[in-house]
Amino acid sequence: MSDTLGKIKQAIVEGDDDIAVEQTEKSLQEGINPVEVVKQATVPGIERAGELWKDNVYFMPDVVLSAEAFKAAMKVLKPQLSQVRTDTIGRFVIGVVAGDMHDLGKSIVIAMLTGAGFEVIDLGVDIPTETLIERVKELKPDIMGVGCYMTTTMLILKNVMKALKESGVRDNLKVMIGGVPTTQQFADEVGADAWGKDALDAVDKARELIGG
Amino acid sequence: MGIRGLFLRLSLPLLIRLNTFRAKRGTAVFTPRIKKGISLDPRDPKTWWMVYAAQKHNWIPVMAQMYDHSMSLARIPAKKFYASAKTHVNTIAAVAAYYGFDAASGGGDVYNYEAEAMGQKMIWGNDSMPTIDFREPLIKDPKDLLKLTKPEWLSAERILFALDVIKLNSKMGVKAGKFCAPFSLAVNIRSYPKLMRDMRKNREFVHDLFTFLVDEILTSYLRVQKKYCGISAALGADAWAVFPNLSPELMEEWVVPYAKRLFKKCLDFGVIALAAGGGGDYCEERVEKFDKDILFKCLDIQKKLFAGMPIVQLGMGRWHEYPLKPVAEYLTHYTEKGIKASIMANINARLLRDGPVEKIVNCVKRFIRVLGKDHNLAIIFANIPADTPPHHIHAAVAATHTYGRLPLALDLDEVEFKMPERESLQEYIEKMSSGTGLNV
Repeated sequence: MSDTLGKIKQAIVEGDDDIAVEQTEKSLQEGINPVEVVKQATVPGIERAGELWKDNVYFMPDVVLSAEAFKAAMKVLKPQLSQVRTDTIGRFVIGVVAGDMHDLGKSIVIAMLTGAGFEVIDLGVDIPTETLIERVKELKPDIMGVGCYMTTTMLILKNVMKALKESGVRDNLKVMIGGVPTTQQFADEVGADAWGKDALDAVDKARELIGG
Repeated sequence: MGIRGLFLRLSLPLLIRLNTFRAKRGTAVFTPRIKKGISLDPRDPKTWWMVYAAQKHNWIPVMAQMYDHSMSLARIPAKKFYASAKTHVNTIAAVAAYYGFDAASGGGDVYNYEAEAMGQKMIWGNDSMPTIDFREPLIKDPKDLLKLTKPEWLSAERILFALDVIKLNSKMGVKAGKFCAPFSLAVNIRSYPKLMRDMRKNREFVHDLFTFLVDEILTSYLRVQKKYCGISAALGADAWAVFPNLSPELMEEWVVPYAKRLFKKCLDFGVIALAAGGGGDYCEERVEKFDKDILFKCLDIQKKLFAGMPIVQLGMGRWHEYPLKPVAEYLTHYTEKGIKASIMANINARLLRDGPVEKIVNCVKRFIRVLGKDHNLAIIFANIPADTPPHHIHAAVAATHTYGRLPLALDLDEVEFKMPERESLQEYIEKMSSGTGLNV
């Protein structure tokens, strides 16, 4: 691995977005294939942060900063990556229900899913049910992940699931839910295909859903 | 420093001793003091609860934070529930009386009022608590801090609502101010990821921010609470300052010093301000990662946030699954000195919602068995989910009052638990209001 790739990986593990951006730009100037930057630096970086989290070495601030550094590096690479064909294991659309602004968990999930090889499309927060349905029709994802972080907004998930059925897109779509107030029982009640306990669990479940 | 400030500063050790003394005596340290001679007024739900609470109950108390649940159960629109003090407190009082809670007080989205008053953009859902718009933090760039000024409190956003709630609470025996603790307030106006980054890369800014929030914002807000509501004590909510949102080391570095700074500043004008509500809570989601050493550090931090008082919060974590033995072990340093700690033991919100009843009842029973004998225990339901089935709450309250009857039974397994049969909230309101409905 080149010195630059090593520094990108290290910057992501350490959650330093400035260095992650600086070294990613440098890697492109050095002519390193952006796909290799992803494979050898950014993804291993976020995976390592996930391992450290799992092992109780990293806590939320560390993971969040790693996710931010990963996002910053990927932003630099995105224009280059769009010009080359990259393999993904599935398309994942993610958003937070209407009336809910909490996206801390979502940011980590996005970083971890991207690291795991998913193409992740972030719809943002406070997304009305109708918009979620429209975007599913338009983007045709393999999985839609919907988050909610309040006990009142989580009830909107019932409407989302109903609307997905009524609009005829549910049959070809796997639905995952997550967020602080949710549980496996709630996921079963609303008829979701899976519940992500946290970001690491969400990645495992997403892989399972697409048969990976 | 004013005379009252000097008096409070000198009397604080006494206050702590008094708390410890009450604890040693086994006096209920959590329950509010209700005036004698309250009579039932069908148009005032506060009296429904007060008449119930004025009875002498010799049991471990149970209380709840239940804003969204009360709003949903009573079918009150969010824009009314979180904006009208009368609606808010009367609804809470009615629901507290219905369930038989041993304390009742309104509060609402206590994390938001100061931020909103400072100009932070909010989002209002039709059926949910207003929430900070984290897409538009008030401090987008550190230099924005210089633009922030102290709000004109009495005319700022929902401050009057918050103050009126505090006033109405005092009628139900809870005369305490409420505020958002410095750390959570900083998160609300900067966003968590940016604040974490600042704490690593721009420490001077974070110190400036916290100093501003304590010295300019919270101190002045608590002065207003004292003047308008007559409070002499206040509790700050700090749900962002918990593990693993912060490591214990980060809490020691960023949370404890500013809680202490606020405490000192407010003593000067006669208010004991504890930025301790939820701060230092242990909330690891993965039970397999439960770590006794980290828990102990968190409990040490809680003690600091409570100005050295022997108070322990077992909060939003998975306490129905974590081991309780380490908590008992931690508490031995109190029992060895003959001190009863005051323990707020939470029933996990998701357990309350999902049930089943048997699991909820066993969770209550386990808390009482392990921690109830040597300490002053209160069972708390922190943030009851909106759609929690009422019979789950009735079961948890009945379990607390059955197994928690004082003096505690030597063998709790010998105590018979009967699931109460209860009417719906609507039927209860119909009965208590003599058919006039909930006066909100």
